Amino acid sequence: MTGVISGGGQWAFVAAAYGLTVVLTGAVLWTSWRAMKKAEKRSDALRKDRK
Amino acid sequence: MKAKHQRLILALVALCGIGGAGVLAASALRAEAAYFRTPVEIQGGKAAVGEPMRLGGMVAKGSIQRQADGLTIRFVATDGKASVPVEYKGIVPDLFGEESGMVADGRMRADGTFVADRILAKHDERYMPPQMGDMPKNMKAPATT
Amino acid sequence: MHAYANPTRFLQIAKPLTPWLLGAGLLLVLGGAWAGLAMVPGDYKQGETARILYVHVPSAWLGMGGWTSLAIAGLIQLVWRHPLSGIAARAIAVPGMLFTALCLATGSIWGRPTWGTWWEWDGRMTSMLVLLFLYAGFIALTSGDDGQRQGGSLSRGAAIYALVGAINIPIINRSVVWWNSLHQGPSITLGGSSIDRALLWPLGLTVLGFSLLFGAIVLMRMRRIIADNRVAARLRRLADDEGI
Repeated sequence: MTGVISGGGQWAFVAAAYGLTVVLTGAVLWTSWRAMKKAEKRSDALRKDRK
Repeated sequence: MKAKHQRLILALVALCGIGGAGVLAASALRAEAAYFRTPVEIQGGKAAVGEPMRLGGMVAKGSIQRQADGLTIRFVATDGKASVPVEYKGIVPDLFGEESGMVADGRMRADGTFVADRILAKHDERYMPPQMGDMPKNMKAPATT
Repeated sequence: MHAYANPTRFLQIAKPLTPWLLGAGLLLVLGGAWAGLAMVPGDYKQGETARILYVHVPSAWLGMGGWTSLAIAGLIQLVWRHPLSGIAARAIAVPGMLFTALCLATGSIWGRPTWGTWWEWDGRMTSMLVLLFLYAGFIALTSGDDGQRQGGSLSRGAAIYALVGAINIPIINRSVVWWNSLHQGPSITLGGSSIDRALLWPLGLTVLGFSLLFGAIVLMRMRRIIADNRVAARLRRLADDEGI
């Protein structure tokens, strides 16, 4: 498992770590936002129906 | 109101119980959960010859010797109190170096040398820009335990 | 206490707060990441890989801070039956698990070029993996229950589970002190920081930025649960009206 990684090869690990963070955080942000908008729209529509 | 107080007391008692159990478990694990053994422990008789184990320590200054075959290296692992000679054949991580931490998987040979079949580098908790890295050696952290 | 228990009052604050948290969080994270990638030098010993610090440390902080707040919400739920506490606990679970997973993944990516291994079973890594499983267990426990009928509150079992799981948090924190480990000791302690000032400041930006994003995610997920509860309650009322 041991090997030599130096110079430019290091940036690949940095890019992988940052990329993974962006993708996963972005996905959770996006799905949370979408789910919230959808649920609040439904709730508002139902309230208008009642009036 | 009364029920609320009752629940609060119950929850606090439960929290103390959980905390106590956790402390007990942690102290019981204290010896067992160690990731590696230090040279002091190995010299203290905790190492049977041939038993697979993990040794951790600092690589002593000036101790790394490359053997003639170009692959085998020898160095001395120390924890500041005791030291163990180590022999390893293979490629070491970039961060492996003298006066820096390392962890080795392997076993003790009858002559008191630790024969490693894998070496990991352990780094310390300090981060600084490169131009500061050349600071005098005596400012380096003491041996890890 | 119960003055703030009212979801309507909560929404009055949460609705305007959400976009602010999102915007400020994104700005700080992007600024901190840019600084960490392009403005500061690499580490004297590790070189460029030390830049992973700026995403790894906020993830660790939020993974652990997430469970701490989840446990506090569980305690409030158990003792005071605060209607929002169960909703908050449910909303924290997914982002908490996200950042715990990110902490493990970025740590693994960092470990390969520095230590020479993707994974080792040392105290720090093992206890962090336990935290990931704790989150997964909590999500499984609360997603299958009848939370909507209870207005989003937790079952007693889930609240106790949140409390018991909290014992892992000090274990993670102390794991590198109690047991010798491959992971290095704490860099930032009450006594100061062993990260040089020149490398430290982007970390402040990303820690604050990711914390704000975490807050935004929790608010969005709480708003979603409250909206779903209202829909469920109205539908039940409508059904009752028609039944008469």
